[in-house]
Amino acid sequence: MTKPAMDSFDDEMLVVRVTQANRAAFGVLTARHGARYRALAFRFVNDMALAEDLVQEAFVKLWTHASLFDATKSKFTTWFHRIVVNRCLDEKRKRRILPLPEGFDVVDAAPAADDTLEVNAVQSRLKAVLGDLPERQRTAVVLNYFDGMSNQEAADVMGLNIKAYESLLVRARTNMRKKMMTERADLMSAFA
Amino acid sequence: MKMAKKNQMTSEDFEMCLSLYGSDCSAWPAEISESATKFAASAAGRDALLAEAALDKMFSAALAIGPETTSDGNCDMFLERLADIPLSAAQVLPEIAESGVFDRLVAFFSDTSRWLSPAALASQTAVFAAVLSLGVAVGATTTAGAGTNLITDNEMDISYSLFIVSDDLSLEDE
Repeated sequence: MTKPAMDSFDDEMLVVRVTQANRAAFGVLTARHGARYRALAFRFVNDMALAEDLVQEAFVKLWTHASLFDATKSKFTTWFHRIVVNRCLDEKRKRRILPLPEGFDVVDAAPAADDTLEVNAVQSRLKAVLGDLPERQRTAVVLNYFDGMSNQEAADVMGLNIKAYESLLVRARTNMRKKMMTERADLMSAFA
Repeated sequence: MKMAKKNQMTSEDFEMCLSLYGSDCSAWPAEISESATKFAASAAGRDALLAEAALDKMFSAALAIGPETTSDGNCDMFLERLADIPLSAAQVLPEIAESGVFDRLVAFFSDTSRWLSPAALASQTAVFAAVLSLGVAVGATTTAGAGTNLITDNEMDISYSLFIVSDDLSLEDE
């Protein structure tokens, strides 16, 4: 009888194998979820190098302490999302003064400099709008809009019931829109 | 959803509905759709709709250029780094399987979530019943023996003999 391919295993089965020091199972988990958690962490810390470090720390914890995961209590992704999100929020709280981005004062001679500027403009606008939100509202928005979680999954990650989560999301959306309306009004009055 | 007045939508109501149902007022619930469409035609409604559209656009743009949808060589390198973690980090194996009875008990009781498990509740009830039975048994034995095994005042008073000696001494002096 041949061994089934690890790729066909669900996350919870893979974690059980990780507790038995199965490197192949760990490899499948990292390949399956690494990019997603990298992107998620980036939405919290706005720094890709830091996001990668934080997610790597989380995966190191997964390898060294996989036995802490209890499949009867939650799905792997819910559990691991909590680990990554909490680590990102801790890091954000620690970093009161944000350093300037790398290459801040370097002239960009690349041909796609305009594109980069546009990308940066979108990112900085998003950062400004999200940055004004209270921490829980920001987490709700990131999980829903960027990570693509369903409301129920996001509510589970945040330890809320679905109603409370949706209410948080509605308040976040309303706050972000108000911020954009204020910006627009300021812009209009400046031109006037 | 409560409205300030019937068929009249306030700015707050409109904002709330916009967050709940999106920017297409015609797709909102029938009972508020008409008043919402009226409000959307006002200056405040137009501003809110513009902000909503700008918000959607910003999210779409951020997603399109963000790490969620774009793949880059750095991500591949990152995934390789993750896959190599087992080579550099030692696994902490669960110790309970190899430890003794005492360690198992400590591990069991250190997890407070188990305190209300059926096994824990049964154990607590058994211990409570045993202690209660012991107490009742001791009490019954003491009460039963009270009539035959009386303790005298002399035995109770540990200074009694001292006073007798003192009395005797004083009498001899006289």
